[in-house]
Amino acid sequence: MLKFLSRIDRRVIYLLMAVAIIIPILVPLNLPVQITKEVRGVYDEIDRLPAGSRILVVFDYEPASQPEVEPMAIAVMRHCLSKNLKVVAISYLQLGRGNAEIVFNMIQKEFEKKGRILKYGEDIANMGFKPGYSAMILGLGKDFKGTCVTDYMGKDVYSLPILKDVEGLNDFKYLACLHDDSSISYWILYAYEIVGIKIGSFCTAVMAPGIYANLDAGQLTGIVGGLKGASEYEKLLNYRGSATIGMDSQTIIHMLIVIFILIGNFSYLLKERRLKKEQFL
Amino acid sequence: MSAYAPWATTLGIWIAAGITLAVYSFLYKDNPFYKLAEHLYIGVSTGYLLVIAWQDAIYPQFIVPVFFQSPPVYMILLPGIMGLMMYTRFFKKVSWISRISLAFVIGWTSGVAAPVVIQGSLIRHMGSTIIPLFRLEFFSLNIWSILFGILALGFWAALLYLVQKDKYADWGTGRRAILVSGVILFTILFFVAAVFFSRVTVGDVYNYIFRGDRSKLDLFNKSVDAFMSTFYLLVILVGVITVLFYFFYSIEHKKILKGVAKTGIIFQMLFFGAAFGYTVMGRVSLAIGRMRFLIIDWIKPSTGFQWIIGLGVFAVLAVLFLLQDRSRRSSETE
Repeated sequence: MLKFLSRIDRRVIYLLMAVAIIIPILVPLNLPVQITKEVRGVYDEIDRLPAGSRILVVFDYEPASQPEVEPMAIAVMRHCLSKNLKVVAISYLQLGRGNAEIVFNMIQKEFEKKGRILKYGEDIANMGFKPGYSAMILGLGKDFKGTCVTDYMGKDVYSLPILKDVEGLNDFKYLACLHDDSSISYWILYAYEIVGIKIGSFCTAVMAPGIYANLDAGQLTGIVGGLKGASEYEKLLNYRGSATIGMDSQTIIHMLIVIFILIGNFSYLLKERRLKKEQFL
Repeated sequence: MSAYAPWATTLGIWIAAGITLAVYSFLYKDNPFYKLAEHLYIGVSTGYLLVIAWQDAIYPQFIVPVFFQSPPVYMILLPGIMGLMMYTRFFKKVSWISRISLAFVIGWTSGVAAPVVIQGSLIRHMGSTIIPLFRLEFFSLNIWSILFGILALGFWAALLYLVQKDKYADWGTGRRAILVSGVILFTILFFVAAVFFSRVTVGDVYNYIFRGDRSKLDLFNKSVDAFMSTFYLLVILVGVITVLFYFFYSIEHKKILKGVAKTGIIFQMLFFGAAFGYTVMGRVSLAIGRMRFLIIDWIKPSTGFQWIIGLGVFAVLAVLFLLQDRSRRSSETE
């Protein structure tokens, strides 16, 4: 038994993992999703905003995190635009700018199919990549248009109707931060603490445990963490998106990992026992 | 917003699928396809980052205000020059110049960050830790709550006395663990009972038993709420103190202090466990995303013609890699 367990090739584990991911994609299991108060905190805050309010969506994630964060981006965009909120995107990562463009294209096509044309510059706008970390956020807080200068297409931001009457960050009712790194801490320190704008975190699962302290401190209204959080947001919006479908595979994989951990520990204990016996003899 | 031509989208999907498979092929073993994907990734991303930096930052925020705006904003030349000074690091003799820019950045950042970090990280988080243990709205003082409170305190005092005196040192770990868990369990029960009885009158109990009036039943839920809120706060309190103590090396961690430090380790392990679970979820999510891409975006919509071309390109690359490998080996033997 011990010999068999120790001889298992790591590639067998990779293969099993791949099978466990692929099967639920081909045959969805439709497992239930429970809504947590962290996700509801973000959803309720956006849902409460009156039509016409501006919301700043920060695309601080790289393409490597796209499978995890993009479902959240799509969900929050759908939520905002279905409530007639005006969405302005910005990124302080060079690669985040392209992610915003992808999500905007997707959402525009989707709304077009439903018969509503989303006008760039009126309903949505993409400020693109803005460097400078803390300096950039401080600048946005005081003079949003002066700091942005141009949008992602090189258009003068002063010509965009969506930014009419916008002076600083306090002209935005909410800030949805989609991030795969600790960029949220900059937004919390320089946007929440100085300007007072409410922030919701849409982060990768890796980032989530570290942000709970900010949630407890009242600096965030909620956390949408990882694929699980995205699936909860999708459920609140009453649709089965890629996150909800992905959660089937996620559940199977987690069960498989638990089995692997048990097997690993079992074989370790067997080995220890055998060694002790040999020493005794 | 820009849209892409269908042929460009298809080509992009095939390249992305090919690179995905090339990266995954590393799971089997290192190979030239993986190396190709690795080099492509670094090259393409560096080029892309440079273009974005130029298009979104350097051109509109530096070139335009200085050279194409009327009147020109010459003040921007200063940060521009400071930025260029950073590149002097590549020349040994004048590399000291880069320190001026670096000093400016560090000084400015420290000055701006210090008060905000103290307010937003230190004070704010301390504030969220130092909060009342008991939510007073759940309690009312009466003979029951006082009695149960005294009993619970008595149990804890007894436990502390026993631990202090080390009277039961010969009991062994298992029996002492039973003693500690027993005391904790009694405290929990007394706590729930204290809140419950502090709100329920004899008349309520009579009505519940004989008249089936369940309106006061929600009081039980309230007492559970009160207990849970205090329990969570106790966990935070114990966690913060024990973890901080674990990193406090001025006192030797022995006897009861060893237990405190060990509790600190348990709390840290709990965090690492949660972080590990989340990390697994994150990594699996990425694998799910790639698999969904391969199945839904690549395999399903691809036509036979596309497959012939795709496999043809793969075959050509494989032959090229084989030839390269053969020439490398022959040059090595020579």
